Amino acid sequence: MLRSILTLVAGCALVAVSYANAIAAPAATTSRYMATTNRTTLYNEGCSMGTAGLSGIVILDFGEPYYSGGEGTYTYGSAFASDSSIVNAAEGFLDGFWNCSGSSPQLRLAIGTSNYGSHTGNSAGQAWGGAVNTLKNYISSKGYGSQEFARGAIDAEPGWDTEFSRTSAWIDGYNAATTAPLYDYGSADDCPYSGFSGNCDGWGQHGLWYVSWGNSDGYPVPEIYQWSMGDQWYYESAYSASSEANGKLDFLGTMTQYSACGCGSSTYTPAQGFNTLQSLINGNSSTAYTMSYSTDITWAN
Amino acid sequence: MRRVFAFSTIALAAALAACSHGGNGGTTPPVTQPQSANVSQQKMLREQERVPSSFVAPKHPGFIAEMPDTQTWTQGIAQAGEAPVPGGMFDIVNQYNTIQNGQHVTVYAGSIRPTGAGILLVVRRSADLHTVNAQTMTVASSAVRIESASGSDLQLQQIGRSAQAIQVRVPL
Repeated sequence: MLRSILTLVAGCALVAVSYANAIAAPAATTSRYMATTNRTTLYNEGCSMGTAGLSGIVILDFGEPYYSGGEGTYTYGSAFASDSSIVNAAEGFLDGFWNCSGSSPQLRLAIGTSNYGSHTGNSAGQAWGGAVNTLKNYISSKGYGSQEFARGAIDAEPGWDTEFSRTSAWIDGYNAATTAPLYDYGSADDCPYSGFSGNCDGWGQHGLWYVSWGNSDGYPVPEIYQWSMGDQWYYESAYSASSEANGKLDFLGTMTQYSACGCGSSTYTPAQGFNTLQSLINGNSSTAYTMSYSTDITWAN
Repeated sequence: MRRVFAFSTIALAAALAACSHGGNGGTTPPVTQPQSANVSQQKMLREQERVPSSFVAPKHPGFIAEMPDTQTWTQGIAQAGEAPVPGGMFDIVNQYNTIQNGQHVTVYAGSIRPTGAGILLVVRRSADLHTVNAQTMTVASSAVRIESASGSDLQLQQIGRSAQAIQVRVPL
């Protein structure tokens, strides 16, 4: 009998390890730090993805919220881009993907901004939600609904707003404007992980939960550039499972920066980022979840 | 015999409990799951909802010729501007933008974590923005700000206790 128990325990451990390793990382899509809102450029980016037959999440990161006669962002092309010009550019991506893909690939296109800078706030969040609604309507009116989804996204990093108030106001504004999912592709800086007990730069784990999963539109697609980042998000999910009403974090996928960082081996490849978080959360039944998406961000437009 | 069976039953229950909690090496406190499954499931269903379309558009595959980008590339020093890098890696103070040899060049100044050393992050983009490369230069022991610039010569100010002016030539 005792030998049977030992066999069972060993088998159990083997199953746990096998389960964590059995889920192959999906092919990574390309997300981008945007330096342009040129519709043709984005059309061709969408066409490239469609031609490759890729499915998944694409985040077009247009930079920090900014105001110049209207809501918009300060892009990585060191220029203001209005929300309407961002929508116009994203529509180009949707057109390109639709035209160049077969009938199977599925695109979740998210327009991304961040919580960096003093313009992060409720009105910027509301405007961003409105921009995503415009993209949803575009997909519907163009007959793209069988393959395309419009999403919002925010690179929410605790260190960029340690008081949390501007970030939470932005999130509330977005939720007031739309029911379209909001992908948090941010970090969990200064949050707890193995051997480290931080307070998420003042947000606490509750604040990070609210941004990534607690708000009704929020879904986590976290940055996993190294092991500690995966462990921080695993701890966040364990916290949420034990302390928050909607349980563990259901991670849609991961974001890596292998193409952008220029860091060589010091940053994870897309597969490494995905597998790290997948293994960590599936090592604990309270946080177990099967992720679906992997995206890698690049500077090229 | 009965005692052995009782022990075995307890051990089996413990083994199954351990199995259900996974093999995390005990790094996380045990958690209890609230009644959250329905909330999560409903949320995930919402994530998969499709936008209704009354028709399916025809497809017209093929790339289209790109027109020159009419966007104005602001040159000079800007206090605003998030760097295209994770906040957890760099703390950016400000940036300098210029065009050199047909390339768009952005120099971000600030510091790198966790050492706090002053750095410049130089990002070069081809005119069509399709090709980008970057390099990091460590220039001081603490964060730096760009005070002025002329061509590839930057005048930096070290921030902190030993505030010093630093002259740097950036390989543009």
